[in-house]
Amino acid sequence: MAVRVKTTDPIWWGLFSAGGTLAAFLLPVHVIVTGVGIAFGWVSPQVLAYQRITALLENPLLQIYLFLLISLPLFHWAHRFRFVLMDLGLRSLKTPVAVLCYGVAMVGTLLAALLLFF
Amino acid sequence: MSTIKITVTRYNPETSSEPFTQSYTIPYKEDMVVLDALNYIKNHVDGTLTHRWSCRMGVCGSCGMMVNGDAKLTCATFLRDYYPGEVQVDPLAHFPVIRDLVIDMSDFMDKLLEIKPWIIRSEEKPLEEGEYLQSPDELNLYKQFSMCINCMICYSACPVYGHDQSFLGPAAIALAHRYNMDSRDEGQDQRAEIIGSHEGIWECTFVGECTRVCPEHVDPAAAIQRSKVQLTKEYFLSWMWPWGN
Amino acid sequence: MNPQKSPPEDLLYRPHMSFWWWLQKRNYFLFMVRELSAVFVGLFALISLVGVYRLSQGEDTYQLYLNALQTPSAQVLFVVILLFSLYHTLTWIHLTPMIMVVRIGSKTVPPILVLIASYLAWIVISLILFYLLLVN
Ligand code: FES
Repeated sequence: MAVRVKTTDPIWWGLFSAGGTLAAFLLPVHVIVTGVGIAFGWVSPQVLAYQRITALLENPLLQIYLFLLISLPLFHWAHRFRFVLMDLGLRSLKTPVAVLCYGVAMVGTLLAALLLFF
Repeated sequence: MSTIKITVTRYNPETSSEPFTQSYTIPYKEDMVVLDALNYIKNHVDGTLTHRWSCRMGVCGSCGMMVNGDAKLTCATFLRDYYPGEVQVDPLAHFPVIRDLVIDMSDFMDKLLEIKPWIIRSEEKPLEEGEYLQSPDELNLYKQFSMCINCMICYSACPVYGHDQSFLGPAAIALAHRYNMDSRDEGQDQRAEIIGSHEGIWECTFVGECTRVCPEHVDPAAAIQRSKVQLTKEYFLSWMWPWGN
Repeated sequence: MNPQKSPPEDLLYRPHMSFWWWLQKRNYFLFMVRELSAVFVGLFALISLVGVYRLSQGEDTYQLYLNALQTPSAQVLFVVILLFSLYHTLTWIHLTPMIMVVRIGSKTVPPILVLIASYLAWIVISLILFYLLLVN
């Protein structure tokens, strides 16, 4: 297949939409249970207890799940935030803004990978 | 006799480098559209008022202006929707103004040509082999995107274009999509170079206002997002199967 | 191709966009809220990342993290995150039928069915996830 698109834009847009879809379908429950639920005491902190989480993270599938749950929303944020700044008129800072936003997402992704897989 | 106050943005580079506003109070009738009011002013009150129009029936797309802040075809916008309030008419947003309500559309015209809005064949079949047939289902895939009347109202609703005129913009991409989705067309490769470029679809942030303001219900926002999905899929596939196809 | 002829630049008036354009129309404002929901979506990912980091430092440090999750400021933060996260989900699902054209054979599935299917998928996935997180 001939490569018809010669910019890197599809990479960023692809990560953005993957992260957006993941966040749309999965994040509310996570926020309700491990966020709001634990903060208000509706959910026992035992759900996030050290022993339980370390045991769960023995499972490579759950490692990958948590990795994606962290990394993809970060790229989703990076892309949207980059374009919010563009839409607010920061066009003259196009490149630095892009580097900064995706850079943060990449560092976060790298950290998550190091912590979870190694 | 009832009257209505129309405030119009004027601009004349020969007398001032800044636009100013001017108000006219004119007779009001229930069946008048904004364009009728402008024509009344031009014919009976102030002959120097300059604006574009032609068909007076929502077909030609030349009478687009901002009416109380919203981009509208002035020939299809009734005064009674604002009466007894006032009506403010400005030139289409985001475009350079030439005079009063007349904007410079050359950027848009260039962009229209750039996306090659015609059926491209890798090889034309000879006349005696007959026409290129198309089923109703195939027609339905692009019909909506072929209804554009080039009124540029979507551009004036698009903040991305407002910030950066290098953005290809809603109508041009919708028209590219119209030909890409046409079963008779084989020009996707050529168009992908334009719409897939950095100034093409990727700058769009899916505000969606282009679709809401379109008087012909073309849905440019959908055309842009679908092109993004299509080209992104293709981009990743070409990585995974560089030898494919 | 012949580029179109514009009048000389000094005769044109070029309008400028106000920084506050997104406050001028309801739709623009809602767009801005939708885009900024990503900040809170990203924030939750960041909080989770901090959790994973704390986890790697051992049980005691991790306990500090768990304690922080139960403070009043965490309550406020997570409520805000939840609201934006739900807004993200709703807007994302509602835009799906516009982007995804589902075809069966040569017929296009009506967008409303795509919308309903997306909602159902969200509900089913959420129920399963609730079960996995709480019961298991
Ligand atoms: S005058 Fe032709 S569309 Fe309004």
